[in-house]
Amino acid sequence: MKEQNPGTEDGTFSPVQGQSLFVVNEGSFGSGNSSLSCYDAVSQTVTNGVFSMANGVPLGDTGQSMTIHGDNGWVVVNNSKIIFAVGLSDMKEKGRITGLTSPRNIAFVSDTKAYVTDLYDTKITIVNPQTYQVTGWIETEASTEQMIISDGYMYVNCWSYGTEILKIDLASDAIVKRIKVGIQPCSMALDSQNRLWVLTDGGGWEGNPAGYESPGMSRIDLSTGEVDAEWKFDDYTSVSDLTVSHDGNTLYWLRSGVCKMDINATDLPSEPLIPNSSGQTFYSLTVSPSDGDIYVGDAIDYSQNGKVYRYSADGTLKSEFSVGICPGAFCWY
Amino acid sequence: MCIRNIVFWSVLKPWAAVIMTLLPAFVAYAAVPDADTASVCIDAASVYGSRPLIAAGMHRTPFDSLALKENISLSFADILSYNSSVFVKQYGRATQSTVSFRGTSASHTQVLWNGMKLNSPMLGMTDFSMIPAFLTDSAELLHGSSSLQAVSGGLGGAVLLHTEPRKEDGFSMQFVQGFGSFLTVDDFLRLDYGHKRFHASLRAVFSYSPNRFRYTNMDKKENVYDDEMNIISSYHPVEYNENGKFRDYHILFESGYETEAGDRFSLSVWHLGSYRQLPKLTVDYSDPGDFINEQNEVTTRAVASWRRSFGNLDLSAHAGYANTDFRYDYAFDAGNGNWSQMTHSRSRTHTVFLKGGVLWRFADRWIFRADIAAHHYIVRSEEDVSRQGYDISRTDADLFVSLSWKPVERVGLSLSVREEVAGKRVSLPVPVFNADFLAWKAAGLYLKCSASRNYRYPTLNDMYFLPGGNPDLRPETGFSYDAGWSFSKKWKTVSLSAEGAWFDSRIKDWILWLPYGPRKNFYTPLNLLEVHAYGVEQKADFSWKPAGEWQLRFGGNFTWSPSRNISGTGLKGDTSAGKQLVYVPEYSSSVMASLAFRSWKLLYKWCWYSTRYVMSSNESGPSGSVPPYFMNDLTLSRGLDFRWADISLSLAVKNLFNESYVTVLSRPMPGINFEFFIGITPKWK
Repeated sequence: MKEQNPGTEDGTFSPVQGQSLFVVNEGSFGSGNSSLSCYDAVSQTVTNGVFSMANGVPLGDTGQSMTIHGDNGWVVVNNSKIIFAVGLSDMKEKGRITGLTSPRNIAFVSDTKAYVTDLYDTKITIVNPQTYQVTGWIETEASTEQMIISDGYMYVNCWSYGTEILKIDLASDAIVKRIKVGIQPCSMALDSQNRLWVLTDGGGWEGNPAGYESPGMSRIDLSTGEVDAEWKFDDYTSVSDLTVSHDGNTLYWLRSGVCKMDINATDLPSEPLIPNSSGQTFYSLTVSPSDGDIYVGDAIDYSQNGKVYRYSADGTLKSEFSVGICPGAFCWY
Repeated sequence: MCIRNIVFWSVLKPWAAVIMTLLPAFVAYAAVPDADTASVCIDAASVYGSRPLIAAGMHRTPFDSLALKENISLSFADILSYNSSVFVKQYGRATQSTVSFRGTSASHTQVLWNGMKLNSPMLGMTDFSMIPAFLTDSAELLHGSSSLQAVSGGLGGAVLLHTEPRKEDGFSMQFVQGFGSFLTVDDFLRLDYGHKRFHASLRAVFSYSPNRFRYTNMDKKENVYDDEMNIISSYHPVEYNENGKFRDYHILFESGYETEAGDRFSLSVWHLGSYRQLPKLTVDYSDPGDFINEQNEVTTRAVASWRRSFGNLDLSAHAGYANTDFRYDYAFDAGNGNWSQMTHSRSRTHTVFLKGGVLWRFADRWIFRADIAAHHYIVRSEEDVSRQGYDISRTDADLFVSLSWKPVERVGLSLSVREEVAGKRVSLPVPVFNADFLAWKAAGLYLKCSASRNYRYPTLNDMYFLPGGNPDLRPETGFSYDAGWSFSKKWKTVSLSAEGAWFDSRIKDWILWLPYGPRKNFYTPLNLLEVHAYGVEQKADFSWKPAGEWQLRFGGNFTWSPSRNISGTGLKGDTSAGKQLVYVPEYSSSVMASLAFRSWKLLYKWCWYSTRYVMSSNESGPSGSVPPYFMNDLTLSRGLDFRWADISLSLAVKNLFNESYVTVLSRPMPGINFEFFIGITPKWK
């Protein structure tokens, strides 16, 4: 595995489209040492600190997510309360969105409209990506997390102390439906049959204001907007990071390792495809859109550089590479 | 940290270590053997040569009046930074200041105020920025296993703080007004009254500052856009330290009374109120007006004591109570004048303290000592938004028994046992052995050593915090030993003292908090690490009176304290094994020099810390470590003696060379800043 060292200001890093995987490293909360890594899945090289290399300043505190729209990557830095737009040709900053409370994710409705979810603010912020200005808000009455667009609607999970999936009309920016699921829907995935899968973490501890139950999975038929199937896990083992293969036919998530399930399966898998029995701290998950390889972020002790393990679709370890502190999110380019 | 200092220190560092190691030996060699006793005292200086049997083999650092009173606005965190081998982690005035003593963590330093623990029962640590030096009359450090003579759980050591009213009869008053940079205001008032066997004292401290200093933010760039929102240039902005305001007050009342029969009663009551904002990170891009991020603390402590000597028998009893109401608020502007709470945390802690002690010189050269102490804690902690917290009470008690023996004049031996109870848990007896040997009587040179086991029980947060608290945690256990020497000598105009020690400590079941739960959104403590902390402490003091009205003083500390995580976490891919602990410098040093002439005094202070790692894997670079830095302070003061009052004038300059530096990642620090003090002490008689 080849690894490159982070460069200095005015470095010349340029990711290759179609084979690059960005890794958003959260850093240590309150330390301002979040970073962005980029892995070339073909040459199997990783470049760490690509944001600071190109811009001469650190990414900030608690990088949260990254989304690509047009020629730009949009990096949400939660505790810096900022979203950086960076040019994908050179990773240099193109602009920034501020005026946010605790941003988590950005999703693009059009070239002139994007939604930003927020952990603490019970509003989705509407921004204009061309002017980097806040143009409005959608009152949600709940914390909001991930966003998925389907058929003119944005689906948003209310994770922190929430129990709902919001359906928002992209034209009117109005919430048209609230779909009740289990406690704390932490992540979502849209399958090839236009069904929205929702992973609920169950609250995590007794006394959670939202309640406490075993984690579960809900499936929402988007043609009706109703939950058409639900499963509960056998115990309270934590779950996270539901994702779907590029063809939309296979689901993956983290629960004592990497779990895998066909979208037509009737039961949840009893054993993980990739168990983390060897003492790993699996923290994030993505599946390659090109070859179906599974990438798992390992935070280790959360205060040293993390690792990313690359597995084939059948769960065979192919390689591993080091990234920044606490690799928490991925973005394919 | 400027380049010139890096280059300078890279050359200086090895020599500094050699000089600090060899200087005391040279001093011992050069000493003139004219004293017939080893109990030599130095004017207003630390007493190293004096070695009462009860302190046999102990490694201790007393703080003298110069250290405690040189700048009236100092907190005890500042005192430790410049006068000891302790590393203080802080990021500016009136911000949380915790210590690392002998390479251990903040909760491994026990702090006693008039015998009662100041450590938070919730967190285990003490915030030294909440202790004004003005309220402390005497203090000392007990290093490593020596701390077991006072308290258990001090795997790094202990800090003992004492207050006492002045013993003079009549009424006296002292008032000091300070004005400083960043609109800082400090007020200090002391009233004393004494009549025959009764003495009382009232002290008050008030400190306020917006603390809004300017600095160039190298962690940000401001963009300049054209009309089409293209960035055409960028620059590092000059910003203010936003949200850094503080407003603290302290009131300390003391009284003492001694009966004709010899009973000595004393009462100390300390009330403090603190409002502090939490400054923004350098990488925070929000508008400070959009957020509230602040803490409020109100604490009242009181200790009543009784002491009595019956010939060879000394008895004492203490009772105390402390109450802390702590509030933390983190909120954002939700519009229309409404603030929406992100964190709304409240905790109330009650502590009841009882202690009894006996010291019996039951035979020539023999001393028996026993203490029994108990702290009962009642804690209610709640966070309204997430409903986290707990409500619990626990009683911690310990019994200490010690036997000291001087078999021959030059040798002191002490064997002690401390037994601790935390809630329903009972520790194994903790043995402590101390010994010292007067190797060179004329020079006052002592050799000494000590060895002990020690425990630190998990804090209440460790065990009971919901979510994440782990009631199955084991106590951290350590085995420590040290060996060292001390020397003290006084000539007609020159005083010299020095002390050095090698220490070695292995701590098992070191508690580490790791993310846990769904999305890892809360933490849980685990007994994960084994830590090996060892190193060398060197200290030297020099005082010279070349002429009647001149006095020169010099004091220096040097510490080398590797503190290695030798076990790692056991997690796959972990590279922390063998690495220095986070935010513990391997090297640190401080120097204090003063020159006094008549009523003038010039005081120069310097300290240096090596790289502190932010990452457990000890990565270098801006994300993984904080660069070494020097800090220089200077104080010029003068006293004016009028018939009606003594007037004192003082100008303190901090960060003398306007260094750009940080002590904690992403926390800005002020450049050169000033504070002027004027004090008045009326002459009532």
